[in-house]
Amino acid sequence: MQPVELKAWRNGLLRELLLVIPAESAWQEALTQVEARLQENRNSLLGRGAQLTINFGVRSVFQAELEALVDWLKRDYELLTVAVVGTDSATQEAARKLGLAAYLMLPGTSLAAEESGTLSRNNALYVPQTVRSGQRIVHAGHIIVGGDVNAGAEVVAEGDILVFGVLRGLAHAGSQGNEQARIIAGRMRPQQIRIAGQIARAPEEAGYAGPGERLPEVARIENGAIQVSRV
Amino acid sequence: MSKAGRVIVVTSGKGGVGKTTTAANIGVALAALGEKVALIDADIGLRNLDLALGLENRIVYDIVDVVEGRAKLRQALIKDKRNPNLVLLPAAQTRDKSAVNSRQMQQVVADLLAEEFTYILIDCPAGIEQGFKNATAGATEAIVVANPEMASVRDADRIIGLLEAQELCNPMLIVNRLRMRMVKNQEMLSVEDVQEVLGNSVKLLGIVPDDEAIITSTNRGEPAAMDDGNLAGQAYRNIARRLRGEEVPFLNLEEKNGFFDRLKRRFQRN
Repeated sequence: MQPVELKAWRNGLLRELLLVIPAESAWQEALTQVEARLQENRNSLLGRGAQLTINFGVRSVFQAELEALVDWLKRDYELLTVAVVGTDSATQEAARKLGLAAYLMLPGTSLAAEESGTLSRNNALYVPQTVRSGQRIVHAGHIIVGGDVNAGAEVVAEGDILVFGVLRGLAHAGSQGNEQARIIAGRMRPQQIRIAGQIARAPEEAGYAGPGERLPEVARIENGAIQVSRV
Repeated sequence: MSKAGRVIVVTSGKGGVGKTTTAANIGVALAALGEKVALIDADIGLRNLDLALGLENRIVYDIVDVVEGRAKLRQALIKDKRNPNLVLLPAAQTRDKSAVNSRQMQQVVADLLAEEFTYILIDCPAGIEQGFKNATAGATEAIVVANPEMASVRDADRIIGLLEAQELCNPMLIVNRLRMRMVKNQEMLSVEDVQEVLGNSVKLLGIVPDDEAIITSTNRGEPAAMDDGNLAGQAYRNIARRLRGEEVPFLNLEEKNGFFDRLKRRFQRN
């Protein structure tokens, strides 16, 4: 039987914790193992308020169970659960109800067996609505947003990011280091854009992005720095 | 059995944008239109709604007494001194947000619905923590109050995302404290700016001008909506009518500052 694991991992530019709870063991048994892992790693955890993603695999988790787990991790270990990875629809539903991000697969895992397969880079996630402040979308391929990305929202893709509306929030393309990644927006008014390891922020004088003309622009790395130009 | 009542939470994310004033004024205006209205102050520990309504001296029991079984719901409801259609269920001042949980709030709302209130307005605390979750738990509709400023709009955006996650979709928006003159000089976001950010899934319910009358009326405990002589009160009365499904045009908020303009306005109204 696979044991419960707790490890550090990189989610985009952030260092976070990943808790893997395999589907085979009973829930109580799994919780006991979680506690054991947390006790073992008590001193080496990423410090107070570290962000945590929980990977449930194919396990089905009830909302009440998940809520109790998240509360417990926060109360006793100051671990802030931000996302849940799982293929079970009940688990996904429970995570969304609790305001957590819910993913089918771990950001950073490619669909194909080989890391550089074209399949993984051609794997796009379509988000039909506006991404609002406080929401975070992470995906191993490209991300297409049908609406806006508002200030305070974050969109992190291993591939390209395409925003049909206004990009006001944070976009990070090529989050696993792909410097060829691009960010395209119907209107480019971001707080910050990141491509691979590069960070660019909006010019100070840009100010507030009110209603205005749509002028699609593209951000990409040229000569080692992020450049924005018309599409 | 009459038609089921509507349960609407008034929320904003950011503090100080006018949630409590908005809840009090809409409550008063709806009651004046003949609706049976219950106002719930869900801001436990920071009780304010009683002040806005001028009912602070009449509180005997509060919502925590009700959920903990020390008082019956009917005992805790305070009838408004001006309009018997309006009641307030006050918050406790000596406790905190953990004193009432989501299930208890849902029970209180269900009991109020059984009393045949047609509108139940829940005044939500600021923030996105447990207090917000409790206040929204019993609601089926939401009013988001935002000021025309970046911080408020961003927090409103966050709140709308959280409301959508709780399946409180298509919230209604009130833009509060608008100053037309500053908008004209591009010193303040316009209503269109706010709507642009929040998107078209959010329906504009009303625009309330920044009005000194609000400050004095809140301090006196006489919601501005009761007074015919100010624009903010008029805006709240219009909001109440729109809530009931009437088509009411938005107020013309062009600033008229001169004494004669104000006098003229006073006459025009009648």
